[in-house]
Amino acid sequence: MRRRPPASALALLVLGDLLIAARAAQAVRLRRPFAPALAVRYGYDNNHGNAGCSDYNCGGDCYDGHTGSDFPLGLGTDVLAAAEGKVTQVNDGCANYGYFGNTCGGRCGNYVRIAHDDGTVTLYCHMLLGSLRVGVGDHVGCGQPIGRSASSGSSTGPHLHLGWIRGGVTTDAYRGPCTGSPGSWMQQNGYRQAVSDSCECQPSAEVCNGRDDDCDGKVDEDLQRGCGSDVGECSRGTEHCNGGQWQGCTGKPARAEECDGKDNDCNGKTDEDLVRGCGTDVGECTTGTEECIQARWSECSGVRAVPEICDRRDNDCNGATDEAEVCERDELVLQAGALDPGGSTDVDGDGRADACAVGASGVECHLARRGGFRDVVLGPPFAPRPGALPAIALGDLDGDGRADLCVLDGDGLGCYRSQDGRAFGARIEGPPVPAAGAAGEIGLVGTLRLMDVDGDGRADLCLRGAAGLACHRSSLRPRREEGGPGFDEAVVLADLSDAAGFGRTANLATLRMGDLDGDGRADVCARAADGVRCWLSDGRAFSRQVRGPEWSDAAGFAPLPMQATLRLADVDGDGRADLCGRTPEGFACHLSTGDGFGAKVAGPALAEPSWNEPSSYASLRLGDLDGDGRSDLCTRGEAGVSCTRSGGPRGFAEQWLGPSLTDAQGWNAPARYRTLRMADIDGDRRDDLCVRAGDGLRCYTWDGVPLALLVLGPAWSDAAGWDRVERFATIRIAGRGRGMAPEMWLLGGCSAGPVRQEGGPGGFALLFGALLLVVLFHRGRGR
Amino acid sequence: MPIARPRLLLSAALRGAPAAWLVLALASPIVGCDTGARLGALWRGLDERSDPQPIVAAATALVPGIDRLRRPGEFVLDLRADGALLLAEVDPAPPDSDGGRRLRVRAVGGRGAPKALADAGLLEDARYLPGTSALLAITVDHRLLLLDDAKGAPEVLARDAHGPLSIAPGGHFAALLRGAMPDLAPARLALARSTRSIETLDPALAPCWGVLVDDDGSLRFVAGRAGVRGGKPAWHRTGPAGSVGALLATPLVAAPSGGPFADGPTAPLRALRSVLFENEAGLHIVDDDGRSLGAPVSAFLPVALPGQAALLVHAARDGGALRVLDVRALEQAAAAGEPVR
Repeated sequence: MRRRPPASALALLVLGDLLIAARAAQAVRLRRPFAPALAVRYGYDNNHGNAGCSDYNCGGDCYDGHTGSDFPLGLGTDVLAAAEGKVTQVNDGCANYGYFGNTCGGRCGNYVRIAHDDGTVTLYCHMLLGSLRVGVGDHVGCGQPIGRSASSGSSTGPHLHLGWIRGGVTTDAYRGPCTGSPGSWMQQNGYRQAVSDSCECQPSAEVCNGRDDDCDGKVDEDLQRGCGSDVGECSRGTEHCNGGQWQGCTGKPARAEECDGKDNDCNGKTDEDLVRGCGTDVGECTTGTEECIQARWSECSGVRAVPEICDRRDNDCNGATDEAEVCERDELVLQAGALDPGGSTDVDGDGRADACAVGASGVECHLARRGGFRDVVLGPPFAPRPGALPAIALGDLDGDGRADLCVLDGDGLGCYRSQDGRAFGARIEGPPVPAAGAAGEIGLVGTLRLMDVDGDGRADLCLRGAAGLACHRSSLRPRREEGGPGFDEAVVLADLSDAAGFGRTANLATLRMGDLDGDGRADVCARAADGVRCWLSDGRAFSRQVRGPEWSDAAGFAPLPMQATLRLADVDGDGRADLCGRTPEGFACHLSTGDGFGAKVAGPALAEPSWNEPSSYASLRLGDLDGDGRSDLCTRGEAGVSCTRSGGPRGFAEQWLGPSLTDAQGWNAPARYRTLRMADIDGDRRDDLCVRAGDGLRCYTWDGVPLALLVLGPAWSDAAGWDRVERFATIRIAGRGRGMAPEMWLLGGCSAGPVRQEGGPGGFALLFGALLLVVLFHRGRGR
Repeated sequence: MPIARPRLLLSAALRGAPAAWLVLALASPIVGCDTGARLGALWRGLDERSDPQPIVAAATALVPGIDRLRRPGEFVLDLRADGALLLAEVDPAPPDSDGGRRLRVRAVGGRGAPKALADAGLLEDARYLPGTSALLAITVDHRLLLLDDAKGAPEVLARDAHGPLSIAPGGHFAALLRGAMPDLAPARLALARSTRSIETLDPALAPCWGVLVDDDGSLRFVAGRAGVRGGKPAWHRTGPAGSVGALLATPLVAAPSGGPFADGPTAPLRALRSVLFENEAGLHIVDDDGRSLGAPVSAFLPVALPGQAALLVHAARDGGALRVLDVRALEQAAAAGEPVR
């Protein structure tokens, strides 16, 4: 019979079992497995399977694929059991200095494996050959020496590789934000600090440090405190401890100061010391700084972006220069009043071209008189179409010898007849405004022309829309009563429609009108990618197409500095407009034969790089300066105006120097050079040159030589707002007079008076005029 | 790929060994080909020759051509009978650490290598499969890959794989280690497509290393046999594949338990009657029972010349100068008790 054990013995056994069970259930904590206070050098890679590595604290103290913790122990340092346990495996026999790639001991070299009571396992690798002091089955205590460190197995130098296996899986011995491990250490301490070398926990008050200070198996438990401040935008609250860090303050925390008139950073100051960089260094812009002043950011001190203009610079700082056809748009709109011969601004019919433009109160025409511009004929008020520049054109609609006015404004197309040169009459409604097409409103503004396409002596109203160029034939008679319809059916050129591929701004900017065959009817030319094409008017239609010179894209005529110089002018005096332009070989004209174009007449080379600037290539003008019936060439470049006399078929030869409109004096500004006009303002059948200066219009007239006498025109000054594009782009001065002796111009009384050009020959003419008056006076008295 | 001028190769061969011109004459139809192709021709030309001296001399003469193909820091990882070379460079490792050995591997010469090699990234080891255009590779995340253009994407044959790779000369078997450091056990891979399989030996043998597979599928390796105080690692071997003892490891009792052992980064090689392997001391030669045949030779990273009793070896553990070792001469010197240099 077996004896029952006494109750006290049973109680002891039960208590012992409970103690063992409790002990087994409690996680075994590790001490530092060596004496020196060394921190881990290369930790466990928590970046599972991905390139690179991440240690427990999300740092880089590790390497890709590492499955343990490497401690930089010197050769022969005692390796200690990190906790009490039982030795389950040892390996010895590997050389002390294995090397990178050495496979001895399954790459672990000489090693010891210890199983702990909670089922975890520690592994100590790369130990010294023959140094192992324990064998399989041995029980080891916490901190007991088990061998010495070396570099056996696959190792690049002496160190201890500590592996921690939990649940059969190699696990990071450390806990932290980038690992799911609960951690193994008795006291882990801070990042890159040595872990504790104590085998037992020393209870103390729990504080927020990531450690189990009170040895209850919990870390930083139940810790809470007040936080924050009530200064500025902040408010107080409470926060709790997590992972050794105070977190989650429930109050409103401080944040970075913003430019909002508030104390965001809760330091008692508002918007203090707020300066930030601004702007860009792209294009013409420069970076700068802006400062917070009264809750608003100040203007950026750098150069800011402005709308793109045609100047070969990146004005809007978007990395592109003169993009979105800005130069082509300039050519289309700003040159409209300067290019086509045949129109006239002689409002009073005295044979002198008058100066018209849209001013602050509407259209105003300043009449050229003897010696200058005096009387003003006011036209209607002008309200442009939404988003468009004002568009006006002048020409003799009724054949009375006086220029009439047509406008494209908010009310549509309308015309006003000159009333004996003293006023404009009532509005005559023009044809409906066509659809603008691909080029938009500027396609209308830039193609409004008054040209006589049917040869009846009356200008017809031409406008190019999406459907092509339509010239509405004038039905006005000199003495017809106002109020009736002003225009008959249109002469249409559909070849210039959007559908025909002519809708691009660049195409429209090459549209020119002139009488190519000398039949008194205005014809049309334009350039496309394959060259210049012209259409001849027979009065009812542009019935015949002729090819111009092969000024194609392939021949180098595509760049705007080439194609913008396309001109129609009669350079050989045969009554037929010839086709001229700047080519890669220099300026050239092809003489019209009436049904095509013939011989080439060469002009100046215009080869300097400055000729690729719009202030030069857009200043090119053709006009008859010497009254020989042949159009001469004037150009404005860096050094001012220079003109070359046309010798007809012999080409351009004799050169005249014109006014000193130099770049250095600011004449390369669009508000200046874009206003260059050639017209006969003194009625001497010679074209004069007008241009708007800062203080108003100036004209240079014949005085024995071309462009020698300076005449002041209307005060279209910068100060009065005439440097704005909606003003200066509307300046119209065109036409050649019926003829008038230059001395009559000189002798005409004028208070504004002709003004001598400095250093010019006009002084002698004035002196001669005065002497002539004295002689005539004495002769009269003698009789 | 740089083209080696035949005239230079020829002159180098003649300088290295007067009889080598005979060998190169066998390869004359490929004058103008690159060094890799010339190597291939050399191996083919030597297959039928019995005298090892011209083999070593001719192979030595081609070393300058191989050197021209190597970039600084590269060593020869493997070569194939058609002259294709696998060149490798060790990715630097942090000091005082134990990260895995990572190789940047590229193929030159011959019929080339599977395109997937370029995409495989860093590798632990890679070897050509004899008689095919495929190769086996172990990635740094321990996947065993079969790279074969005919199969398209790489085929993952096993995970938890560790090198070095041993390829039986006949190309029917490969051997490697499987598990997690240090619990690595030998595994045998049968490569025949119809019977492809992988068998892993008892993990209780771990830690194991230095695995060699023979043409019959038998394995030879070192086992730590953990558990005995003061115990030492020992050579073990298994029976041929398919036999009763195929997965049963028995110690080679003739081999000394203290070594030397194959614990270098390359697998042991078999040539003639010997097994050759490297450890920290250099290249060792042992007999079939694991008995050492002599002092180690200062040579590392050995590569077998296909079908030949000769090895291409490097002067240092991380590469360095190349030279050709005649295995028969090693055996004879060991038998005579002479040191082999």
